[in-house]
Amino acid sequence: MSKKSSRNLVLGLLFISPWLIGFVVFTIYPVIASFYYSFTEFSITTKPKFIGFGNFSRMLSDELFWKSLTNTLVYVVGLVPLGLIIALGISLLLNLRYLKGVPFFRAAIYLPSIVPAFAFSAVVTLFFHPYLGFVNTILSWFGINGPLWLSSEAWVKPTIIIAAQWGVGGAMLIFSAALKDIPVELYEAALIDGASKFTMFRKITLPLITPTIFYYLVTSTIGNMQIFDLPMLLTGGGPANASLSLGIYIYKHAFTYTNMGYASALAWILFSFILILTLLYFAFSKKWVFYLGNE
Amino acid sequence: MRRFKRCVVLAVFLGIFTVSSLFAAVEVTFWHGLARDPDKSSIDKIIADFEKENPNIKVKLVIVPAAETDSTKLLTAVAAGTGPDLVYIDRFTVPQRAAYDVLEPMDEYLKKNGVDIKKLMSDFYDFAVQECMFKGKYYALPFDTDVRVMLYNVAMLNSVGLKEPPKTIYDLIKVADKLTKEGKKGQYDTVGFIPWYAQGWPYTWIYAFEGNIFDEKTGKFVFATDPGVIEAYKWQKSWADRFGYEALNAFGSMQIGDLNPFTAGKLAMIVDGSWTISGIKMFAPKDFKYAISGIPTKSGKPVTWAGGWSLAIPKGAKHPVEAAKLAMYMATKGQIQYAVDTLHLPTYKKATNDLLKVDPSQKVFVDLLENAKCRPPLPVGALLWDKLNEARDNVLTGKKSVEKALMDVQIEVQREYDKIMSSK
Repeated sequence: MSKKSSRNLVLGLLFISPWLIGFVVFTIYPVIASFYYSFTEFSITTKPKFIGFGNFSRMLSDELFWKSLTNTLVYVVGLVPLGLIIALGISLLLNLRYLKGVPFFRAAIYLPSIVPAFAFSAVVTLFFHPYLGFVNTILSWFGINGPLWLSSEAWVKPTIIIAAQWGVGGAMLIFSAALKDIPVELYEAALIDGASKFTMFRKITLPLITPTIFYYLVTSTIGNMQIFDLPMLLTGGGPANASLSLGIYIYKHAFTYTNMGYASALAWILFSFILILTLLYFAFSKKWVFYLGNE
Repeated sequence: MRRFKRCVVLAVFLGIFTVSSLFAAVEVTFWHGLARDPDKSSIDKIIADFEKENPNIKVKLVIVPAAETDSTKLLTAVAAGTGPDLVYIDRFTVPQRAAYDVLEPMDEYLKKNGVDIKKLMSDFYDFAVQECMFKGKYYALPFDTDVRVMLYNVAMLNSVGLKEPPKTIYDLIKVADKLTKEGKKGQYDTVGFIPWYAQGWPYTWIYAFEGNIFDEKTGKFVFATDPGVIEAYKWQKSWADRFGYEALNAFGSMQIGDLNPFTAGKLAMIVDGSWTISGIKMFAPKDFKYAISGIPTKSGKPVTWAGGWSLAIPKGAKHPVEAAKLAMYMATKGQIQYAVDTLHLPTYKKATNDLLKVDPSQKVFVDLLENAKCRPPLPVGALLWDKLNEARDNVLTGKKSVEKALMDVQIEVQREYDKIMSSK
């Protein structure tokens, strides 16, 4: 490295140092520290005591760990595909050429996703209220006896999965941008060849937005594996721990039972699951993700 | 000339500054979570009076929201050495926070203020003092409290020829039978009673069946094999089997804030806290007539348990002696003011007279305080609370037998308890 370029490097690092320092202090250090704490008994305010793999072997017989883990996987399996279908569906609608007032609809659909989860969960509670709620009132018009939604062990996770779709706006914007990027010539050529709308979607649209779908799958899985705010605010993990996510369970151990060591171990297990899922996505991505101009 | 004037002004300012810093007050930071009136304004008033009495102490009030067992901000602040001098904390979590070095013992700081601790503690109700202790030391001073009672709908009970609910627990089910009526679509139109609803927590029924949770002498949890506890759980299960667990919960879920099936005149009896009375007065229909009685028990002698808040000094407090003085003031004189302003039940015995002067209807609650129980003051209080609920849910949903559900959680709670006690 020449003198000038190394000077540039130093200057560059200096310029981004506020971010670098924040990254090291608030991200790297806690990550490393939690790795160490996961092998200890630690309650935040006392000295950590090294116990080897004690926290990890404890998980094996911890019923609530397994319950919260399966709950979390149910959330992911529900939230990721449903979010994909809804976000993609809405952005396809907004991409229709003859639709008027697209900016208005886009804003209207994006708007709910900036509502804080706390305010939103108050709305959800009333919306899905078993006796007095909007949803069950509508259902009763059709003679349907609606479920207990958030108060039912069987329905609480589906309810949260449905309710979480209020935040679909972010993904919708990304898909809209991806759809706009597809060259119009491709559709024109297909039209001349007499392709149907559905064939165009299957052969042109879908392949060309696979990188975006891939991006969505990875980020949405990572995000939803850590689902916390909605179940925490709506049910606190109940009824009978049916909506308890791993994120809530970690939080409970960290701050309610003051088992920071066990909470750290749980967090690392959660991280390993996320890592494995992400690696699987990448391993299979070569089979179906298509990058334009990368032939 | 002008320069001279400037010098004089500067000198005067400097003079004021030095003199005032000589007499500077000690600033005590106090965290509390009472963001709503009348609670908040009452605290403000108490603090103003305290500052007037103690001109050398300034109190900095910071509202830090915290739920009962969840005081994330306090834990992280104490770990970082940036905690307050005094904190308003749920009393039943005090032994747990003490065991984990979040709080400082107050004995010494109170002594430095010339307080006779034994005498001071005798001014509070016994259950409240118990909750403030860990390993023979005082880690907090008690503040307000609450009790649980049976509220009942007078008209509904009259309709089945009763003046008041039965005193014994097995008679309760017969009355509830008569008052529970199915409406359309298999939903209940009216319900007599739901044991686990509102304040029908596991502790409520464990105490009603005279169950034992913990053996002080051996340091062992005993609830999983205690006949009283087992009976309390089996009794709830028989209730769930008779009326349907899901159906009762569906009925009970008709609740938004202070509006619930009880205030709507659909639920005949409810175990709830003394604090709900103001809500009932405010939101129930004008012709709604309710009355208060004791929680039915196995023996027929009413029982209740009390919760509430306290004032504690966190580890690393910068002015613990002054904080102890403030805590002492708030727990005594402050509680009188607080009871009058907010109608909360006090733990300071002398404050009850002042409360009854402004609200004579609270006499039934005050009378219960002398013999009220508290949750077992153990360093695993939060875990035990969650686990007893978990065992109940597992029993009522039919996932586990009573014995297995209780034993599973007892093993877990015992392990946590042993861990804490061995590390101390």
